[in-house]
Amino acid sequence: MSQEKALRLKQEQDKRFVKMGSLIALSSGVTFGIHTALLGVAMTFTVATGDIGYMVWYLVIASANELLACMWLSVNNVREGRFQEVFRSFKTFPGKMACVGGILGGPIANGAYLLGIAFAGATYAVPITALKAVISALLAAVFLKQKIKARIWLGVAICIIGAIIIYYTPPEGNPENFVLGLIFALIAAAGWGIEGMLAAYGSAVLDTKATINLRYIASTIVFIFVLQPLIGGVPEFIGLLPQINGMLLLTVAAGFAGLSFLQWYKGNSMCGVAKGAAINGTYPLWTIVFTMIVTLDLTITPMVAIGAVVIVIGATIVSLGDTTSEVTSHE
Amino acid sequence: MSKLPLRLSVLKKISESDAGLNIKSVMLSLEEEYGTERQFHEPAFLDHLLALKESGLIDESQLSVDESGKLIVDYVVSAEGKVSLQKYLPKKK
Repeated sequence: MSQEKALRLKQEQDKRFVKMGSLIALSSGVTFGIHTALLGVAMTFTVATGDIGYMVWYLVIASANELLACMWLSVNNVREGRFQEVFRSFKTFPGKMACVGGILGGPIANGAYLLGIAFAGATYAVPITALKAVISALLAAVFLKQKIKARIWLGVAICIIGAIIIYYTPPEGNPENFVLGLIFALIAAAGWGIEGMLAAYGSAVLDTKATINLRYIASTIVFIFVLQPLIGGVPEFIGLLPQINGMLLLTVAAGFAGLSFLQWYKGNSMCGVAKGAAINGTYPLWTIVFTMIVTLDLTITPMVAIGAVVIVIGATIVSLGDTTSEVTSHE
Repeated sequence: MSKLPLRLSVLKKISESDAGLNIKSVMLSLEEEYGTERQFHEPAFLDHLLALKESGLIDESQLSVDESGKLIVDYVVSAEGKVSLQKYLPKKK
């Protein structure tokens, strides 16, 4: 009798765990949407002090965002008595891999994304970067031996199609260095995709909140001390710091970025990388929703509406059948 | 010697027990080393155990119910968990 009860309680616990994993992955998409919308507003409150191009300015903002998100995560870990775990984690191999993931998904993917748009145009570059969910899922299947059902692959594909529809912009002429641009877009997709897999790899034996903090410390160091000097952004970065209103908005936006990454890593370790990536991949939809809210601009184009519906269908397909864990690393 | 990350220590302790450990016995075995840290509480340990299980590094060996009707799960290390420990634990000099 008690064995039956134990089994029933266990099944309920398993159900709760997988459902919670999907909800956490969804919250990572929603909070990233809030982050992106607020970042857009924050950028209107900041001005470049020198005559620099859009790309350098974007990377200056991205560096500040990374630093502020890192500070949020560090303060939270200190508050919860977990900050020492960050250093303990760094001494392990999975901890070092989390740093590699942060550098690939942070400065490298962001830089490549911008170069991809600059060389090939957003029409081609942005949809290519949406492939990151497929790359994450493929790598998790190969390296983490996660079994991924056909239904989840289908949902991943539909979410990507939805993202492509939302971000589609008509091509503008024939961009120079087109192939190079596509290569950079692929590098960005690979950077984000590899990070997704490494997130689950590190979180298997390390605390998720410590792992994400470590990832942000590594990416912040490379953003500020390597990328900024390389692109000549240091004076702009210093010039950004006293812009109080812009920095306050950036701080709030970065808080949502940190929370989003934390939930993404946690979701990946709970419901599998493929499912986590697909549900996280609903963020273009949330970005549109929250941008409409913060800018009070409620106009919506047919393409955005169609893309949003497609994403919801894809995410629903991925999330169906949450009653049992469908992704396992057992062979 | 510096301490291991807590989740890795949980995996190590489970691997050292043939009979398997549950949340209470894992916490008891690590209390001396980590007991003074604020991250040392039951919800955090449940999170560690469920994440290790989901990653395939530990398996459930026995289910039971305690006198208050609460589920007790005993865990043992899996073959994959043993491989991970061999890879990630610092080598003794």
